[in-house]
Amino acid sequence: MQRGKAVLGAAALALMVGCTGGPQQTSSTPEVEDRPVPGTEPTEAAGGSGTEGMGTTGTLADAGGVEGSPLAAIGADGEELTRVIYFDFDSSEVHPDDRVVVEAHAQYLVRNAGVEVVLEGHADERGSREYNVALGEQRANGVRDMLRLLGVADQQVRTVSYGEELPAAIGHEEESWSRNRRVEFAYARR
Amino acid sequence: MRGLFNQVGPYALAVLVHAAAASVLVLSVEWPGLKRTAPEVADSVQATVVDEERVQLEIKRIRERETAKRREEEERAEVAREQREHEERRRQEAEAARLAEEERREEAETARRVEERRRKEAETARLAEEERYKEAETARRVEERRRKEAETARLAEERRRKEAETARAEEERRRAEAEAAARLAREQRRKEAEKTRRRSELEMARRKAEEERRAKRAEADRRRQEEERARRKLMAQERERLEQEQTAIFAKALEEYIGAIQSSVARNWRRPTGVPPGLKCTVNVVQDSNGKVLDVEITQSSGNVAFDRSVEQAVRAASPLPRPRQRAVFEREIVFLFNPRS
Amino acid sequence: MRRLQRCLILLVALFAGAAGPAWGALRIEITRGLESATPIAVARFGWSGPGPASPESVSTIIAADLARSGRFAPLQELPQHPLRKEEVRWSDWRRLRVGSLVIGSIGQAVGAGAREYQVEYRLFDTFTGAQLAGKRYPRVLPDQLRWVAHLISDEIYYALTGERGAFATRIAYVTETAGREGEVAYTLNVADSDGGSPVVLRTSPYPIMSPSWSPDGRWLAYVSFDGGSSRIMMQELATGLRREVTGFPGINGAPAFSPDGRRLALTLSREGSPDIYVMDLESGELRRLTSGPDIDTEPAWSPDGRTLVFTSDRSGGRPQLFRIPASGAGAPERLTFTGGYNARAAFSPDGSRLVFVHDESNGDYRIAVMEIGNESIEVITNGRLDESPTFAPNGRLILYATTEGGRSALAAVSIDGRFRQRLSIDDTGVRDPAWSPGLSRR
Repeated sequence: MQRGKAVLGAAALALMVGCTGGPQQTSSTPEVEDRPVPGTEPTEAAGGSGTEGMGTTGTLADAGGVEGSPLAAIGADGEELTRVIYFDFDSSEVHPDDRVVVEAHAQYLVRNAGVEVVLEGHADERGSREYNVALGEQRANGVRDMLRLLGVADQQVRTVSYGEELPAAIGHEEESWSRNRRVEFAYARR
Repeated sequence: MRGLFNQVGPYALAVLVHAAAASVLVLSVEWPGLKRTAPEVADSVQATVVDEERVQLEIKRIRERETAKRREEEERAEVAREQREHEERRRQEAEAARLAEEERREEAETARRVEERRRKEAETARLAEEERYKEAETARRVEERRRKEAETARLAEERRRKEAETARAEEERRRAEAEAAARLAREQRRKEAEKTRRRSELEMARRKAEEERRAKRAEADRRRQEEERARRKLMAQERERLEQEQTAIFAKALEEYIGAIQSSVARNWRRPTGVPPGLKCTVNVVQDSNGKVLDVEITQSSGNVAFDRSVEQAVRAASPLPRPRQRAVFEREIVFLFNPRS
Repeated sequence: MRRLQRCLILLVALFAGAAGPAWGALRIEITRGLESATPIAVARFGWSGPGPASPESVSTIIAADLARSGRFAPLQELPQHPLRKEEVRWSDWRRLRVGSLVIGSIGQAVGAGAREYQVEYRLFDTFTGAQLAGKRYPRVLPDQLRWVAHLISDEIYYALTGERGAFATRIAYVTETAGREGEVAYTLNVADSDGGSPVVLRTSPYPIMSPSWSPDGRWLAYVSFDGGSSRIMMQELATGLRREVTGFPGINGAPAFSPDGRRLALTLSREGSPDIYVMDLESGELRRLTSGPDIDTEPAWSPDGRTLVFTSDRSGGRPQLFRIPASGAGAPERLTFTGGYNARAAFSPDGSRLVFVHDESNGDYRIAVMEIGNESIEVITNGRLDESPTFAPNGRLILYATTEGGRSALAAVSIDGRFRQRLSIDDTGVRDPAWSPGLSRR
């Protein structure tokens, strides 16, 4: 899983770097003919050769394992900012320890008005899948509201919740679950 | 009302009389005062200035004239005084007479008023007396009426009493007659009963003799019958004993037979899963003498295809059914009720 | 002898527990029996005729179907494999106490190309020798053989239980597979009810969620995350035609076709928090059914289309199930009061029951069944992470996703929870099952 994400992240990077043309938005086309199962070769995906779904925001990767993600948020000290914060069980409250992280991202976004962040909300695997999507959204929305309060422009922030669909850790115990209840900051140029 | 007036009338009259007397007294006391306040009348003096001599002469003349005059005047004054005194005396006498007259008149008036009051009191008394008389008259009339009514009632009572007396006498008479008649009838009945009794005594004696003869015959019969019954009972007991013995053997065999069939069918019954609880099914099974199941007919379905089918197959799978130890307990037809207790 | 008869009847009544009519027959009550799946034998369908043998073992598929229902126990070792009635040795089967026997054969279709088959089968009562069912399918293409096997299973099931089977139905599900290099692909699949003949409908590097069948079985609605944002999509199975239903900012999730197929219930959070909406599929018009700052999601239609049951945390804290009229008129009514977590409901086909994900507050998420109008619930699975329950169209089984040995898999459980079986689908990470509506044919 972790490995898969890394590759996806890499693929996304390749896409971001290599794709000078407009974004491909086949998935939003109202009616298209079904196609055979697309190739699973990462190079194919990176090449954008007909693989659907790679949009402008580009990454599904979690911050920890990916070097050189498309856009790194750099803090005032020149260090790359932590791009994931974790939540307690059944909670969408930003942990007091993580407020500094959110504040640093807010400062970065205020400094770089041309940068957009997608807040990806996630939940652990327990319970029903769609309800977990709702929980993930509550977490992403909580961070979004903090950023706005800290002066970030509305247009710079977008949220998406993947619920339990994209776990960062694949175990079935609290250790993994605590790593999956999270919000990730995914950066892109507007 | 009249009574009240009768009390107030004399009292008001007395007050009036006393008030009048008091005013007379007040008037008589005031009179001297009024007289003292009448004003005194003095003589006036006239003087004229003349020359000395003449004056002196004149004065002398005058004085002489005056002296004479004064004398004369004094004499006149004396006469006047005496006259006045005389006048005064007369006036006082007249006054005294007048006062006396006044007093007399007043006394007369008082007497008149007293007389008047007395007259009025008498009148009041007369009226009261008249009233009393009227009341008494009324009471008298009421009493008279009551008396007459009482008299009437008394007369009516007297009449009733007499009537009752008459009725009582009549009743007495009738009773006496009835008693006499009853007495007569009793006597007659007694005589007849006596006759009957004598007749029945004869009859009873006759019957008694007859009964004694019959009883002797019946006793003989009874003894015969008792002997017969005892004999029969003995026979029945013997038969019963034999039957019970046989039935016990039969029951035991039947119990075993049923138990064997039950366990064989139950062993072969696969109760289906996935069916609702509480299902029951009755089947009619026909077997041959070897226990081979010839026919299975569902007589009361559970309503569930799988359950009914499991029941039918349980019976068929158990074929041949166990055979009984005693031929007698075998039944060709068996009704199975499948009623799982889970 | 009359006296004897009386004694007998008395005794029998004693045994039977109930006095019966005084006819000559014995009356015996049977109160015990081994509760078990009904034994049945499915003989190998022999190849009758020239040419190569059948590419599918139809009889194996039938036996597996019957076993999966939990109501039949197909015999493993068969004493004989007769092809025709005359070949059946009845006594063999009776001795084995197997009351039902299926025999059949596959051959070349008469007067058709070499690639067409004919399939025939018969179902017998082994005790009476009576035929209970039987049919011949004269022209069957090779890729239709499995389906014909399911049709035969349905016919056998109906003959022996009086109820319709759900073997010739399909299931949709999502799989997550890793490529050689570890890259992940999400796939939307449709397969026969036994997991056979899987067909890939859609593959994406982004997650796919919540497939939902249209009542005619022709369309699937599902949630796509292509491009990094959620959309509700509809795809026609026969043609592969795909169209976007919604793509609002925020959540686009939990699609559910109405029983008449004209509307789609779904979840949108475009107004700030997730709420239930109903979309008219012809006009695209959206009507919002719930509001408020709480989470409202996972709508499920009652079979009569009058009400929707959904998941909500409006009662505070963790989610419970609520019911609301589909017209939207009326306040949501809370349905579950037991346990700390009740979510993702699905109606039984007769509308009398709900199946849903339940946590008694001990951290185990299991499948539970509740009769509508009765607050007591019955937990019917024993996993730790069971989810996404879906009723078979005949209401006898519930398919759900479970986690076994660290992998998610599909399992079926009988509605009383007494019979459970894993569904063999080879992919890793199988989840989000959706059982198709009634008895659609390919």
